[in-house]
Amino acid sequence: MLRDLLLPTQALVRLELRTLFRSWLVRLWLAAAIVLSFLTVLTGWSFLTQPVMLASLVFPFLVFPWFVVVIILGTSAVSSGQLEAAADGILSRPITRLEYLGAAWLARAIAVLLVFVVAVIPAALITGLADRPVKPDPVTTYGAIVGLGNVALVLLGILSLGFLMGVLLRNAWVALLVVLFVWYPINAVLTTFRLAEFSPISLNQALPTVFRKSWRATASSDQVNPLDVAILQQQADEFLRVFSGQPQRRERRPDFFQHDLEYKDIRPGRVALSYTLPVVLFFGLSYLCFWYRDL
Amino acid sequence: MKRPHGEATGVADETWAIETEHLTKVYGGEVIAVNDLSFRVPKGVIFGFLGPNGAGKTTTLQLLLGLQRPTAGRAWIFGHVCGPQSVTVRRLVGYLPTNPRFPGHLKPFEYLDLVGQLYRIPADVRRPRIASLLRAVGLLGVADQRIATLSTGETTRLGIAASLVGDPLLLLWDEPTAGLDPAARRFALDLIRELGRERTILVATHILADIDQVCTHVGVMHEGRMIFCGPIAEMKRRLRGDSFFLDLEGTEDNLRRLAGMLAQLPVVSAEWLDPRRVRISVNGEVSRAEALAEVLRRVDQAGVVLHGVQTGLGATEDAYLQLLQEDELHGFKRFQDAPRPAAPHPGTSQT
Repeated sequence: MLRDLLLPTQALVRLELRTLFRSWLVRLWLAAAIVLSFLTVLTGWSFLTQPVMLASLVFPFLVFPWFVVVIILGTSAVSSGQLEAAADGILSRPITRLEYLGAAWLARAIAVLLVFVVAVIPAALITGLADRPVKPDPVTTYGAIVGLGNVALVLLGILSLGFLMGVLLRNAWVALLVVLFVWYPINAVLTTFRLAEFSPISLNQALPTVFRKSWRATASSDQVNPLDVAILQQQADEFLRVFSGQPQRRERRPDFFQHDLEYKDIRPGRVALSYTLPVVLFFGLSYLCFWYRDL
Repeated sequence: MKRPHGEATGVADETWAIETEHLTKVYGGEVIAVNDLSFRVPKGVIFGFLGPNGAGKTTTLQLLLGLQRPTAGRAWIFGHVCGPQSVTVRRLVGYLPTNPRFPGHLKPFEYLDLVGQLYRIPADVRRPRIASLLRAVGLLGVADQRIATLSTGETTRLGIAASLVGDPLLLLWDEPTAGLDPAARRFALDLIRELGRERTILVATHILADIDQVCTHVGVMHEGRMIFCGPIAEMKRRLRGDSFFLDLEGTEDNLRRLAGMLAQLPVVSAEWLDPRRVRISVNGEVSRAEALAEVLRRVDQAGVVLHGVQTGLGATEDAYLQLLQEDELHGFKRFQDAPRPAAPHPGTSQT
């Protein structure tokens, strides 16, 4: 019974995944993400402790550049060109709009998380299991699950925001510009309103602390270590410098994370909730827009 | 949601395959695509949905399928209300869009399998059905090719197969012969005739010859409104005006002589469409046979060679064009009859 009920959704998810992994965008993204992870491991092999290494591996997904790809995947899901073909071939069949929209979102979520897992987990395992010349600083299982889970939620949040804008504005590229316009200043805005736990940059800064956390840890262990912040700052600066092709600076102002140093509250439950709610909200609004729309 | 018995128009459930009531679609408050459309399609007929480009045929089909929301009015298919959430309606319907676009990277079998899953058909029923459908529409030879590589005709055949996967009671086919070569067109028309024995079929088209060949009932749309709906024979009867066409050949003098002789015949009136083709309309109480006999005698007397007589052929086209023409005239009459502001009195000024 349930299997029959889910048959259309399963079929649509499979179709969308197949379409996504045939696209050059996803293929190139997967390849580039693996290469970037490899380079991160290579450059930090001899001095980054495991929690900081993991946070560095996650940096491209949380901050730059992979979140742009995630947004594109979201905005292009239900754009007008694609929708015309979908109306002819799929939505004229006995399925609900929720099933179609849910399948489109789910397939993109699976694709994003798959790329994230493939690019980060093998690198994390290699650096964790190898005998590296760094002082022991173990990542707990609980910390890894919570930390990477939070990152996954952020990615789903960004995806859902792109998805909403794609449905709302109908044009994938206009939607992309709008999301970028909203997303770039978000860190500063959230910090101003003391909601820094919503910010991916702040989360990246707090990740080493989360990775070290044990199940029975006290509230005092939620304090972000300034040394981690400084190292991550250096990594981020280096990454952005290489990415933008600028020459190395002699003196560097630690400005990238500076305004986030007040961020202390990294209780996993709170952080998880702060990302889950937007995902649900954005998807709900997307459905509402799609429900009213003429195809 | 099913339509309650006797609601609004007093029609019982499932009496009609399709029923619309004041169906209206206005885009952006400016463009009226469908204008107060009320019509019924009986079960088990092949219904030709005629109209020029932009008449609102496709929009009507999309309203029936719930792909668009009506601005006003309602529609039912087999007594079920049409709308975006109406999965039941879409389960009863097989839709073939104009120039269908399908996922190009899939193969025909894969696409039909996807459609079958959307209809929630179990694999053990779905797969044999798809195989027989592929054979029936003649796509077995290209079953291993990607859809993107198929020709227009093959894509349309695939669309036809897709519309039949769910074994629906009603087929909504939008321009099924558009862009097809003569052989493919013949195939599509034969298939419509064959399928029409067990199903209700609505064929939206502006190709009159198709309608003439396969349809039993017809609805004519013009500028968003239904200007005729009923059996095709009734449309021809009402509008034909007992006329036939003669294709002739002869010298200019002989043709001129014939024109003079026909002008003197009180039972017919002749309208020369070109120097070699004349339309004869039967006047008064005489039968068509008698009038035709009189005319043919004059043709013989004038020494003109008769190449052909057309009576039934072109009747649908005539009827259709006449309907459109009458509607245009009514539209102008409506405009003329519309109340206007009183003319300003001489000597007064308007601001």
